[in-house]
Amino acid sequence: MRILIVDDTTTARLFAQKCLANIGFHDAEFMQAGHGIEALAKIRACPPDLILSDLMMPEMDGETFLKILKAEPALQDIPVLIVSSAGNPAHREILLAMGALDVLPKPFSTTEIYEVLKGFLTEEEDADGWGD
Amino acid sequence: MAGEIDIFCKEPGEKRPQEKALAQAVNSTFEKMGFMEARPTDGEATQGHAITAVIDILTPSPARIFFSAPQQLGWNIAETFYGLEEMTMEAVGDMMKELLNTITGSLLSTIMPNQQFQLSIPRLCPELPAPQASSYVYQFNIDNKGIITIVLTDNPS
Repeated sequence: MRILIVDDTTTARLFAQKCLANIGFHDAEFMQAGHGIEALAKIRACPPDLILSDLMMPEMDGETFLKILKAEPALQDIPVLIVSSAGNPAHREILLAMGALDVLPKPFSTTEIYEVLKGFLTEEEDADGWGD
Repeated sequence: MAGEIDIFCKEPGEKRPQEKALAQAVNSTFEKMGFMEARPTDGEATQGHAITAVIDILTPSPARIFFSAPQQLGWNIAETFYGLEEMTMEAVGDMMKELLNTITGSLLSTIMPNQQFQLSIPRLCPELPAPQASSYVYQFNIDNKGIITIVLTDNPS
């Protein structure tokens, strides 16, 4: 399992990685990007199985990144979970219509991210992680 | 429309809605990110060097929020949140920006649930602003390890 975390702060990326490891993705290969442009370059070079992306980032924000990704046939099936403090119900609906897997508001707990992503865990990973 | 929405209600004699929403946002952020408790307090923040971050609310109504913590407390929070063995001041600054971003988004989502809002990218700044009539100061005790200060102002200039 290869997971790309897109966020402009190092600590936010580390926090997300720590949460994912805690819920069972401890054997995942983690990739990181600081904004949408860097993320697209990394995805084209080495497509991940799952993407977590913030919305507010310099260079290219998360919404633009999602729009471009979902327009590329080779990449559009990669699930993208948006994690952001800038969301509200109306914006959430827009992002879901654009193809986001889900929109998780910050702050999120380990339990909340587990509920969204448990379907991506193997039975073994699930048993090793938060769900057991 | 900008300028027509009073984000930080200033009705005299009434409990301002942002106080409760801010307390919720701060407590939820600290609890979910680090299992830490944040209690409103009137105590004195530790004197000495502090780390301060600022974010602008661009729409629907211009405002600015500052977030400051004594350096040692910032260090302790970052260690708790991220569990890093080797912490750096850059990581602590990053964490302050991320915390402010999260608290602000949570606060605005609560006080204007059906309103779109736009925020700037948070940044570090040298210090908190001098007290002024259009600003509100709130303090929170973090796990009895120290006090953080949050300043809301509807006068970003």
